[in-house]
Amino acid sequence: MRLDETNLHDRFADVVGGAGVDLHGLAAGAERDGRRLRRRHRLLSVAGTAAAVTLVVGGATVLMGRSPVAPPAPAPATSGGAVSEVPAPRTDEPANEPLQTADGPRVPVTGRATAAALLDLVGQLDDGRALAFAGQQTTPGPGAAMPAESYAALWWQAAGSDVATPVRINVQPGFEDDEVSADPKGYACEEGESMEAGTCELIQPDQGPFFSCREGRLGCTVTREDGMTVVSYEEHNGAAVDRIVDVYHPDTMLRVVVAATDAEEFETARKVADEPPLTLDELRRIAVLDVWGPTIPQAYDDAGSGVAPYQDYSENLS
Amino acid sequence: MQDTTPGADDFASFVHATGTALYRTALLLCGDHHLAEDLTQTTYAKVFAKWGRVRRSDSPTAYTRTVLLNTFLSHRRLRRSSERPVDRIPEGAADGTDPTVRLDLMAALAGLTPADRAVLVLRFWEDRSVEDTASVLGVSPGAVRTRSSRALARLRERLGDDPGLQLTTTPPASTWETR
Repeated sequence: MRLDETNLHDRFADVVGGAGVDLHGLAAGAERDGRRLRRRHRLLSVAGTAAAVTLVVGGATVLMGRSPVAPPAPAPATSGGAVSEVPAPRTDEPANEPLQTADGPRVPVTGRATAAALLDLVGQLDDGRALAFAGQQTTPGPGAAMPAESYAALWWQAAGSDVATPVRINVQPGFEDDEVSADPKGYACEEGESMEAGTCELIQPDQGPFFSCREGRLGCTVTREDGMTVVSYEEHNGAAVDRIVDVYHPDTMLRVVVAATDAEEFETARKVADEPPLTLDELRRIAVLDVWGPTIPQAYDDAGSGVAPYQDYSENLS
Repeated sequence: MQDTTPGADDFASFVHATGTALYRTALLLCGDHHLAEDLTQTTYAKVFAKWGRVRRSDSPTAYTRTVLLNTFLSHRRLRRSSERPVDRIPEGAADGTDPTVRLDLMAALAGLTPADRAVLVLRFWEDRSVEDTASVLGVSPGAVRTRSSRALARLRERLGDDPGLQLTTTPPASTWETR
Protein backbone atom coordinates (compact mmCIF):
# COMPACT_ATOMS: atom_id res chain seq x y z
CA MET A 1 0.00 0.00 0.00
CA ARG A 2 1.36 3.33 -1.03
CA LEU A 3 1.79 5.71 1.78
CA ASP A 4 0.04 9.04 1.85
CA GLU A 5 0.07 11.81 4.44
CA THR A 6 -1.49 9.58 7.10
CA ASN A 7 0.48 6.44 6.38
CA LEU A 8 3.42 7.19 8.57
CA HIS A 9 1.05 7.47 11.48
CA ASP A 10 -0.50 4.16 10.46
CA ARG A 11 2.92 2.56 10.13
CA PHE A 12 3.80 3.81 13.59
CA ALA A 13 0.56 2.33 14.85
CA ASP A 14 1.42 -0.99 13.26
CA VAL A 15 4.62 -1.08 15.25
CA VAL A 16 3.49 0.17 18.64
CA GLY A 17 -0.27 0.18 18.49
CA GLY A 18 -0.61 -2.99 20.55
CA ALA A 19 2.31 -2.35 22.86
CA GLY A 20 1.57 -2.08 26.55
CA VAL A 21 3.26 -1.73 29.90
CA ASP A 22 2.47 -2.73 33.48
CA LEU A 23 0.67 0.42 34.53
CA HIS A 24 0.39 -0.52 38.19
CA GLY A 25 4.12 -1.16 38.41
CA LEU A 26 4.77 1.99 36.45
CA ALA A 27 2.75 4.15 38.84
CA ALA A 28 4.27 2.57 41.94
CA GLY A 29 7.82 2.85 40.63
CA ALA A 30 7.31 6.43 39.52
CA GLU A 31 5.90 7.38 42.90
CA ARG A 32 8.85 5.79 44.68
CA ASP A 33 11.40 7.46 42.43
CA GLY A 34 9.52 10.72 42.60
CA ARG A 35 9.69 10.77 46.39
CA ARG A 36 13.46 10.34 46.17
CA LEU A 37 13.59 13.26 43.79
CA ARG A 38 11.70 15.42 46.24
CA ARG A 39 14.03 14.57 49.09
CA ARG A 40 17.02 15.14 46.88
CA HIS A 41 15.93 18.69 46.20
CA ARG A 42 16.08 19.34 49.97
CA LEU A 43 14.19 22.59 49.87
CA LEU A 44 11.89 23.27 52.74
CA SER A 45 8.96 24.89 50.97
CA VAL A 46 8.19 27.50 53.58
CA ALA A 47 6.20 30.24 51.93
CA GLY A 48 7.41 33.80 51.87
CA THR A 49 9.81 36.00 50.04
CA ALA A 50 11.51 37.66 52.98
CA ALA A 51 15.16 37.02 53.61
CA ALA A 52 15.74 33.36 54.32
CA VAL A 53 17.72 31.88 57.15
CA THR A 54 20.21 29.42 55.82
CA LEU A 55 20.56 26.19 57.71
CA VAL A 56 23.40 23.86 56.93
CA VAL A 57 22.34 20.28 57.41
CA GLY A 58 24.65 17.39 56.77
CA GLY A 59 26.70 19.38 54.32
CA ALA A 60 23.74 20.35 52.15
CA THR A 61 22.26 23.81 52.41
CA VAL A 62 18.61 24.01 53.21
CA LEU A 63 16.76 27.27 52.92
CA MET A 64 14.18 28.12 55.47
CA GLY A 65 11.99 31.02 54.58
CA ARG A 66 9.42 32.93 56.51
CA SER A 67 5.76 32.02 56.66
CA PRO A 68 3.61 34.91 55.53
CA VAL A 69 0.41 34.15 57.35
CA ALA A 70 -0.37 33.96 61.03
CA PRO A 71 -3.17 31.46 61.47
CA PRO A 72 -3.41 28.07 59.86
CA ALA A 73 -5.68 27.95 56.84
CA PRO A 74 -9.33 27.41 57.72
CA ALA A 75 -10.60 23.99 56.92
CA PRO A 76 -12.95 23.57 53.99
CA ALA A 77 -15.98 21.38 54.57
CA THR A 78 -15.36 17.76 53.76
CA SER A 79 -17.21 16.94 50.58
CA GLY A 80 -20.32 14.90 51.13
CA GLY A 81 -20.62 15.70 54.80
CA ALA A 82 -19.00 13.87 57.68
CA VAL A 83 -16.46 11.21 56.91
CA SER A 84 -18.02 7.92 57.86
CA GLU A 85 -15.03 5.64 57.50
CA VAL A 86 -11.94 5.92 59.64
CA PRO A 87 -8.93 4.68 57.71
CA ALA A 88 -6.89 1.84 59.09
CA PRO A 89 -3.60 2.86 60.64
CA ARG A 90 -1.14 3.58 57.89
CA THR A 91 2.26 2.00 58.18
CA ASP A 92 4.13 2.73 54.98
CA GLU A 93 7.19 0.75 54.18
CA PRO A 94 10.13 2.69 55.65
CA ALA A 95 12.36 4.48 53.20
CA ASN A 96 16.04 3.72 53.10
CA GLU A 97 17.38 7.25 53.07
CA PRO A 98 18.21 8.40 56.62
CA LEU A 99 17.09 11.81 57.79
CA GLN A 100 19.87 14.32 58.00
CA THR A 101 20.29 16.57 61.02
CA ALA A 102 22.52 19.45 61.89
CA ASP A 103 25.59 18.77 63.95
CA GLY A 104 28.22 20.88 65.64
CA PRO A 105 28.17 22.67 69.01
CA ARG A 106 25.00 22.39 71.04
CA VAL A 107 23.16 24.98 73.09
CA PRO A 108 20.26 24.78 75.59
CA VAL A 109 17.10 23.76 73.82
CA THR A 110 14.33 26.28 73.08
CA GLY A 111 10.91 26.03 71.55
CA ARG A 112 12.05 28.00 68.52
CA ALA A 113 15.08 25.80 67.93
CA THR A 114 12.92 22.71 68.30
CA ALA A 115 10.46 24.16 65.79
CA ALA A 116 13.29 24.82 63.36
CA ALA A 117 14.53 21.26 63.70
CA LEU A 118 11.02 19.86 63.28
CA LEU A 119 10.54 21.98 60.16
CA ASP A 120 13.79 20.69 58.70
CA LEU A 121 12.85 17.08 59.29
CA VAL A 122 9.24 17.28 58.15
CA GLY A 123 10.46 19.01 55.01
CA GLN A 124 12.70 16.06 54.27
CA LEU A 125 9.73 13.71 54.48
CA ASP A 126 6.92 15.60 52.81
CA ASP A 127 6.41 18.13 50.08
CA GLY A 128 4.65 21.14 51.51
CA ARG A 129 5.09 24.16 53.72
CA ALA A 130 4.62 25.28 57.30
CA LEU A 131 2.20 28.12 57.80
CA ALA A 132 2.69 28.79 61.51
CA PHE A 133 4.75 27.71 64.50
CA ALA A 134 4.45 27.52 68.24
CA GLY A 135 6.58 26.27 71.06
CA GLN A 136 7.84 26.57 74.57
CA GLN A 137 10.67 25.55 76.81
CA THR A 138 11.42 25.29 80.48
CA THR A 139 14.47 27.08 81.77
CA PRO A 140 15.65 25.33 84.91
CA GLY A 141 17.66 27.44 87.29
CA PRO A 142 21.15 26.55 88.50
CA GLY A 143 21.20 23.29 90.36
CA ALA A 144 17.74 22.33 89.18
CA ALA A 145 16.96 18.65 89.30
CA MET A 146 15.10 18.65 86.01
CA PRO A 147 16.85 19.48 82.73
CA ALA A 148 15.32 21.78 80.14
CA GLU A 149 12.32 20.50 78.21
CA SER A 150 10.90 21.78 74.96
CA TYR A 151 7.78 21.57 72.89
CA ALA A 152 7.16 22.72 69.33
CA ALA A 153 4.38 22.55 66.80
CA LEU A 154 4.04 23.57 63.19
CA TRP A 155 1.00 23.70 60.98
CA TRP A 156 1.86 21.76 57.87
CA GLN A 157 0.19 22.25 54.51
CA ALA A 158 1.03 19.36 52.23
CA ALA A 159 1.58 20.12 48.55
CA GLY A 160 -1.73 20.15 46.76
CA SER A 161 -3.72 20.55 49.95
CA ASP A 162 -5.85 23.51 50.95
CA VAL A 163 -5.50 22.98 54.67
CA ALA A 164 -2.77 22.83 57.26
CA THR A 165 -2.78 20.50 60.23
CA PRO A 166 -0.46 20.42 63.24
CA VAL A 167 2.62 18.31 63.70
CA ARG A 168 4.16 18.52 67.17
CA ILE A 169 7.04 17.26 69.24
CA ASN A 170 7.63 17.01 72.98
CA VAL A 171 11.19 16.62 74.19
CA GLN A 172 11.24 15.60 77.86
CA PRO A 173 14.61 14.81 79.38
CA GLY A 174 14.51 13.41 82.87
CA PHE A 175 11.20 11.57 82.37
CA GLU A 176 10.92 8.94 85.10
CA ASP A 177 9.05 5.98 83.78
CA ASP A 178 8.77 4.40 87.23
CA GLU A 179 6.37 7.10 88.33
CA VAL A 180 3.85 6.13 85.70
CA SER A 181 4.69 2.51 85.08
CA ALA A 182 1.17 1.39 85.82
CA ASP A 183 -2.13 3.03 86.50
CA PRO A 184 -4.01 0.96 89.07
CA LYS A 185 -7.54 -0.07 88.40
CA GLY A 186 -10.12 2.31 89.74
CA TYR A 187 -13.46 1.41 91.31
CA ALA A 188 -16.37 3.42 92.53
CA CYS A 189 -18.27 1.96 95.46
CA GLU A 190 -21.76 3.17 96.28
CA GLU A 191 -23.27 2.75 99.71
CA GLY A 192 -23.74 -0.90 100.45
CA GLU A 193 -21.18 -1.98 97.89
CA SER A 194 -17.72 -3.26 98.67
CA MET A 195 -14.57 -4.40 97.01
CA GLU A 196 -14.64 -7.59 98.99
CA ALA A 197 -18.06 -8.44 97.72
CA GLY A 198 -17.02 -7.47 94.24
CA THR A 199 -19.98 -5.18 93.81
CA CYS A 200 -18.15 -1.93 93.15
CA GLU A 201 -18.23 -0.50 89.63
CA LEU A 202 -15.04 -0.57 87.61
CA ILE A 203 -14.48 2.91 86.28
CA GLN A 204 -10.80 2.80 85.44
CA PRO A 205 -9.42 -0.32 83.85
CA ASP A 206 -5.79 -1.22 84.38
CA GLN A 207 -3.96 0.83 81.78
CA GLY A 208 -0.77 -1.15 81.99
CA PRO A 209 2.70 0.35 81.72
CA PHE A 210 2.94 3.83 80.33
CA PHE A 211 4.96 2.78 77.30
CA SER A 212 2.63 0.05 76.18
CA CYS A 213 -0.38 -0.52 73.97
CA ARG A 214 -3.02 0.80 76.28
CA GLU A 215 -6.70 0.80 75.54
CA GLY A 216 -7.62 3.30 72.90
CA ARG A 217 -4.30 3.06 71.10
CA LEU A 218 -5.18 1.66 67.72
CA GLY A 219 -2.78 -0.22 65.48
CA CYS A 220 -0.39 -0.05 68.38
CA THR A 221 3.10 -1.53 68.31
CA VAL A 222 5.84 -1.56 70.90
CA THR A 223 9.38 -2.21 69.75
CA ARG A 224 12.76 -2.20 71.38
CA GLU A 225 15.53 -0.81 69.23
CA ASP A 226 18.98 0.48 70.11
CA GLY A 227 18.07 0.61 73.77
CA MET A 228 14.89 2.60 73.11
CA THR A 229 11.29 1.69 73.68
CA VAL A 230 9.19 2.87 70.74
CA VAL A 231 5.41 2.93 70.99
CA SER A 232 3.52 3.76 67.79
CA TYR A 233 -0.23 4.08 67.58
CA GLU A 234 -3.23 6.03 66.40
CA GLU A 235 -6.03 7.57 68.37
CA HIS A 236 -9.32 8.19 66.66
CA ASN A 237 -11.69 10.92 67.66
CA GLY A 238 -14.73 10.39 65.54
CA ALA A 239 -13.40 10.43 62.01
CA ALA A 240 -10.26 12.34 62.97
CA VAL A 241 -6.97 10.51 63.33
CA ASP A 242 -4.04 11.38 65.57
CA ARG A 243 -0.80 9.49 64.95
CA ILE A 244 1.63 9.30 67.83
CA VAL A 245 5.09 7.86 68.27
CA ASP A 246 6.42 7.85 71.82
CA VAL A 247 10.09 7.03 72.32
CA TYR A 248 11.72 6.45 75.68
CA HIS A 249 15.43 6.11 76.43
CA PRO A 250 15.65 4.41 79.83
CA ASP A 251 19.40 4.99 80.16
CA THR A 252 19.10 8.78 79.82
CA MET A 253 15.44 9.07 80.83
CA LEU A 254 14.78 11.04 77.66
CA ARG A 255 11.27 10.89 76.25
CA VAL A 256 10.43 12.20 72.76
CA VAL A 257 6.89 12.23 71.46
CA VAL A 258 6.12 13.20 67.87
CA ALA A 259 2.58 13.39 66.55
CA ALA A 260 0.58 14.42 63.52
CA THR A 261 -3.13 14.75 62.95
CA ASP A 262 -5.67 15.29 60.21
CA ALA A 263 -7.76 17.42 62.52
CA GLU A 264 -7.67 21.11 63.27
CA GLU A 265 -6.13 20.26 66.60
CA PHE A 266 -5.05 17.11 68.39
CA GLU A 267 -7.58 15.14 70.40
CA THR A 268 -10.50 16.72 68.60
CA ALA A 269 -12.96 15.38 66.10
CA ARG A 270 -12.60 18.36 63.79
CA LYS A 271 -11.17 16.46 60.84
CA VAL A 272 -10.04 18.81 58.08
CA ALA A 273 -7.64 16.75 55.95
CA ASP A 274 -7.80 13.35 54.32
CA GLU A 275 -5.10 12.00 56.59
CA PRO A 276 -2.28 13.22 58.82
CA PRO A 277 0.66 14.56 56.81
CA LEU A 278 3.09 11.99 58.18
CA THR A 279 2.87 8.23 58.57
CA LEU A 280 3.71 6.41 61.79
CA ASP A 281 7.01 5.34 60.30
CA GLU A 282 7.87 8.90 59.33
CA LEU A 283 7.04 10.07 62.84
CA ARG A 284 9.19 7.29 64.23
CA ARG A 285 12.10 8.33 62.06
CA ILE A 286 11.91 11.81 63.58
CA ALA A 287 11.39 10.66 67.15
CA VAL A 288 14.35 8.24 67.32
CA LEU A 289 16.95 10.77 66.15
CA ASP A 290 19.73 11.50 68.59
CA VAL A 291 19.45 15.23 67.91
CA TRP A 292 16.85 15.62 70.67
CA GLY A 293 17.69 16.37 74.25
CA PRO A 294 18.14 19.18 76.76
CA THR A 295 20.50 20.74 74.25
CA ILE A 296 20.19 21.14 70.49
CA PRO A 297 22.65 21.95 67.67
CA GLN A 298 23.31 25.64 67.48
CA ALA A 299 22.45 25.64 63.79
CA TYR A 300 18.83 24.96 64.72
CA ASP A 301 18.97 27.63 67.40
CA ASP A 302 20.17 30.10 64.79
CA ALA A 303 17.47 29.01 62.35
CA GLY A 304 14.86 29.18 65.08
CA SER A 305 15.14 32.93 65.20
CA GLY A 306 13.79 32.96 61.64
CA VAL A 307 10.71 30.77 61.98
CA ALA A 308 7.59 32.89 61.78
CA PRO A 309 4.91 33.45 62.75
CA TYR A 310 5.77 31.90 66.09
CA GLN A 311 3.62 31.81 69.20
CA ASP A 312 5.59 31.39 72.40
CA TYR A 313 3.66 29.19 74.82
CA SER A 314 6.33 29.71 77.46
CA GLU A 315 4.45 32.80 78.56
CA ASN A 316 1.62 30.54 79.68
CA LEU A 317 3.76 28.49 82.02
CA SER A 318 3.27 29.18 85.70
CA MET B 1 -7.88 24.25 27.53
CA GLN B 2 -8.70 22.31 30.68
CA ASP B 3 -7.27 18.81 30.69
CA THR B 4 -10.07 16.28 30.84
CA THR B 5 -7.88 13.28 31.56
CA PRO B 6 -9.87 11.09 33.92
CA GLY B 7 -8.49 11.05 37.44
CA ALA B 8 -6.11 13.91 36.83
CA ASP B 9 -6.30 14.77 40.50
CA ASP B 10 -4.90 11.40 41.50
CA PHE B 11 -1.48 10.39 40.37
CA ALA B 12 -2.05 6.66 40.05
CA SER B 13 -5.24 7.21 38.12
CA PHE B 14 -3.39 9.67 35.91
CA VAL B 15 -0.71 7.09 35.14
CA HIS B 16 -3.33 4.46 34.34
CA ALA B 17 -5.11 6.85 32.02
CA THR B 18 -2.06 8.11 30.15
CA GLY B 19 0.63 5.48 30.64
CA THR B 20 -0.04 3.30 27.63
CA ALA B 21 -0.04 6.19 25.19
CA LEU B 22 3.05 7.69 26.76
CA TYR B 23 4.84 4.37 26.67
CA ARG B 24 4.08 3.94 22.98
CA THR B 25 5.56 7.35 22.23
CA ALA B 26 8.59 6.41 24.29
CA LEU B 27 8.88 3.17 22.35
CA LEU B 28 8.98 5.02 19.04
CA LEU B 29 11.60 7.38 20.42
CA CYS B 30 13.80 4.73 21.97
CA GLY B 31 13.30 1.82 19.62
CA ASP B 32 13.57 -0.63 22.52
CA HIS B 33 10.93 -1.51 25.04
CA HIS B 34 13.31 -1.70 28.04
CA LEU B 35 14.60 1.78 27.31
CA ALA B 36 11.06 2.94 26.69
CA GLU B 37 9.99 1.63 30.09
CA ASP B 38 12.90 3.42 31.75
CA LEU B 39 12.09 6.63 29.95
CA THR B 40 8.42 6.40 30.83
CA GLN B 41 9.05 5.71 34.51
CA THR B 42 11.63 8.49 34.73
CA THR B 43 9.11 10.84 33.20
CA TYR B 44 6.36 9.96 35.64
CA ALA B 45 8.80 10.17 38.56
CA LYS B 46 9.59 13.76 37.58
CA VAL B 47 5.90 14.49 37.25
CA PHE B 48 5.18 12.96 40.65
CA ALA B 49 7.89 15.07 42.26
CA LYS B 50 5.89 18.12 41.19
CA TRP B 51 2.47 16.51 41.24
CA GLY B 52 0.95 19.06 43.56
CA ARG B 53 1.46 21.74 40.95
CA VAL B 54 1.14 19.61 37.83
CA ARG B 55 -2.30 18.33 38.66
CA ARG B 56 -3.57 21.86 39.03
CA SER B 57 -2.20 22.90 35.64
CA ASP B 58 -4.34 23.27 32.54
CA SER B 59 -3.00 20.11 30.99
CA PRO B 60 -1.10 17.58 33.08
CA THR B 61 -1.01 15.33 30.02
CA ALA B 62 0.71 17.93 27.86
CA TYR B 63 3.14 18.72 30.67
CA THR B 64 3.98 15.04 31.02
CA ARG B 65 4.58 14.62 27.30
CA THR B 66 6.92 17.60 27.36
CA VAL B 67 8.83 16.07 30.25
CA LEU B 68 9.07 12.85 28.25
CA LEU B 69 10.55 14.63 25.25
CA ASN B 70 12.96 16.68 27.32
CA THR B 71 14.06 13.64 29.25
CA PHE B 72 14.57 11.71 26.02
CA LEU B 73 16.72 14.46 24.59
CA SER B 74 18.62 15.02 27.81
CA HIS B 75 22.08 13.56 28.20
CA ARG B 76 21.24 12.18 31.62
CA ARG B 77 17.97 10.60 30.72
CA LEU B 78 18.36 6.87 31.16
CA ARG B 79 20.18 4.30 33.20
CA ARG B 80 21.26 2.61 30.02
CA SER B 81 23.09 5.00 27.77
CA SER B 82 23.26 2.92 24.63
CA GLU B 83 20.40 2.70 22.23
CA ARG B 84 20.08 0.06 19.64
CA PRO B 85 17.65 -0.71 16.85
CA VAL B 86 14.94 -3.06 17.88
CA ASP B 87 15.82 -6.61 17.04
CA ARG B 88 12.49 -8.12 17.85
CA ILE B 89 8.86 -7.19 17.58
CA PRO B 90 7.71 -5.17 20.60
CA GLU B 91 5.28 -7.02 22.77
CA GLY B 92 1.71 -6.62 21.71
CA ALA B 93 2.43 -5.26 18.25
CA ALA B 94 -0.63 -5.12 16.05
CA ASP B 95 -1.59 -8.34 14.40
CA GLY B 96 -1.73 -8.77 10.69
CA THR B 97 1.19 -6.49 9.89
CA ASP B 98 4.20 -7.65 8.00
CA PRO B 99 6.86 -8.03 10.71
CA THR B 100 9.51 -7.18 8.16
CA VAL B 101 7.89 -3.80 7.65
CA ARG B 102 7.82 -3.16 11.40
CA LEU B 103 11.44 -4.08 11.80
CA ASP B 104 12.48 -1.97 8.82
CA LEU B 105 10.65 1.06 10.13
CA MET B 106 12.02 0.82 13.64
CA ALA B 107 15.51 0.23 12.30
CA ALA B 108 15.14 3.20 10.01
CA LEU B 109 13.98 5.36 12.90
CA ALA B 110 16.88 4.22 15.01
CA GLY B 111 19.20 5.50 12.31
CA LEU B 112 17.97 9.06 12.81
CA THR B 113 19.34 11.45 15.37
CA PRO B 114 17.28 11.72 18.58
CA ALA B 115 16.14 15.20 17.61
CA ASP B 116 15.02 14.08 14.13
CA ARG B 117 13.26 11.12 15.65
CA ALA B 118 11.52 13.41 18.10
CA VAL B 119 10.29 15.64 15.29
CA LEU B 120 8.81 12.73 13.36
CA VAL B 121 7.17 11.24 16.43
CA LEU B 122 5.67 14.58 17.44
CA ARG B 123 4.51 15.45 13.92
CA PHE B 124 3.34 12.08 12.60
CA TRP B 125 2.54 9.98 15.66
CA GLU B 126 1.16 12.59 18.00
CA ASP B 127 -0.12 14.67 15.08
CA ARG B 128 1.17 17.92 16.51
CA SER B 129 1.29 21.09 14.50
CA VAL B 130 4.56 22.63 13.43
CA GLU B 131 4.10 25.34 16.02
CA ASP B 132 3.39 22.90 18.85
CA THR B 133 6.37 20.77 17.87
CA ALA B 134 8.59 23.83 17.78
CA SER B 135 7.38 24.90 21.20
CA VAL B 136 8.03 21.51 22.75
CA LEU B 137 11.49 21.18 21.24
CA GLY B 138 12.44 24.78 21.84
CA VAL B 139 13.23 25.50 18.21
CA SER B 140 11.72 27.69 15.53
CA PRO B 141 8.87 26.48 13.31
CA GLY B 142 11.21 26.81 10.36
CA ALA B 143 13.65 24.48 12.02
CA VAL B 144 10.86 21.98 12.59
CA ARG B 145 9.91 22.03 8.91
CA THR B 146 13.52 21.65 7.83
CA ARG B 147 14.22 18.88 10.26
CA SER B 148 10.98 17.13 9.40
CA SER B 149 11.73 17.16 5.67
CA ARG B 150 15.25 15.98 6.23
CA ALA B 151 14.19 13.20 8.55
CA LEU B 152 11.52 12.01 6.14
CA ALA B 153 14.00 11.97 3.33
CA ARG B 154 16.43 9.93 5.37
CA LEU B 155 13.65 7.57 6.33
CA ARG B 156 12.79 7.01 2.67
CA GLU B 157 16.40 6.47 1.88
CA ARG B 158 16.78 3.86 4.59
CA LEU B 159 13.58 2.13 3.64
CA GLY B 160 14.50 2.01 -0.02
CA ASP B 161 12.17 2.37 -2.91
CA ASP B 162 9.49 -0.03 -1.73
CA PRO B 163 6.24 1.50 -3.10
CA GLY B 164 4.44 0.34 -0.03
CA LEU B 165 6.64 2.46 2.13
CA GLN B 166 6.93 5.64 0.15
CA LEU B 167 6.22 8.71 2.14
CA THR B 168 4.90 12.07 1.22
CA THR B 169 6.13 15.25 2.84
CA THR B 170 2.66 16.50 3.59
CA PRO B 171 2.07 16.19 7.32
CA PRO B 172 -1.36 15.31 8.63
CA ALA B 173 -3.64 17.99 9.96
CA SER B 174 -3.02 18.65 13.59
CA THR B 175 -5.36 16.91 16.00
CA TRP B 176 -3.31 17.51 19.12
CA GLU B 177 -4.93 19.20 22.06
CA THR B 178 -3.95 22.79 22.46
CA ARG B 179 -2.29 23.95 25.63
